Amino acid sequence: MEDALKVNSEAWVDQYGDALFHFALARVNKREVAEDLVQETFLAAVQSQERFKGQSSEKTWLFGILKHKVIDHYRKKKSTVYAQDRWHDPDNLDGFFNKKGGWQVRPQHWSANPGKSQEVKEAFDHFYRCLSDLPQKTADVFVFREIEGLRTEEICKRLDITSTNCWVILYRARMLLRKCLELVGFGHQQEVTTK
Amino acid sequence: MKHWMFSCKDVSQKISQSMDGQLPFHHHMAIRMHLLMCRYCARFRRQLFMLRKISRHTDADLTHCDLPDKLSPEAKERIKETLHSLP
Repeated sequence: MEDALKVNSEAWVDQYGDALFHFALARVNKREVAEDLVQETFLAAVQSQERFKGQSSEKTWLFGILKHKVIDHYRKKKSTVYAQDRWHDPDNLDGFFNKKGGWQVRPQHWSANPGKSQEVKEAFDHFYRCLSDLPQKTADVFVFREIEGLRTEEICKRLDITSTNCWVILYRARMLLRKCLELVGFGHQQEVTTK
Repeated sequence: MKHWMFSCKDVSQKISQSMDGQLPFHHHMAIRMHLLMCRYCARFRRQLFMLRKISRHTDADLTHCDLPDKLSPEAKERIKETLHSLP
């Protein structure tokens, strides 16, 4: 590796290390894990530096890598609590609605307020676990759209899918994530299943 | 439940679609009318936006001094050493 690159990557640690660490810690809740994720992020950044085309700022680029590392972390741990067989068939959303198109299980009231700092941490934990439970392609499209904020046209191009397909996948992802968050504690069990 | 032609299933799809692009004006109107009468779909819509808020929440704008959690000096050194030892 070139010396200049080494100097550059070490300067990144001083410049962005704390912000990346803070972001990671809010999502994984363990200092050691957050430190590891930050380290992995810098390693991946150095190794893929030639692919960084300067379209975004260095900071945005590093955060982009870290977000994927956080999701990978949750994917690896796949807790049994979240990986229960409660997704129905993830490719089939018919179970969400009755034949007339009404809610089969009505959306519950959510008391969670991720605007408050403590609740943000809890919400992130649930959110990333639920996200890691989605089928891979569904999760990828959701991450591109909602976490990275890409436009659907860009996502279609990257994944070589049609815009209709993209909308269907995003809809599915939102339905499944919403349901998962409700099941893990965002919702209040006050509604009954209606047929 | 059916209000103004759209079922809850239709509305849920249209709400999601509206978050990713333009919907025809009459679809927007039909959704709004439906939401006025269906609190479950209104709830659903709020929750999708909350999902977006959580997804896009970032503290990346915080400046160095604002950060409550910082990398320890030891962790920084360790990371630098790892980067330095890369082939």
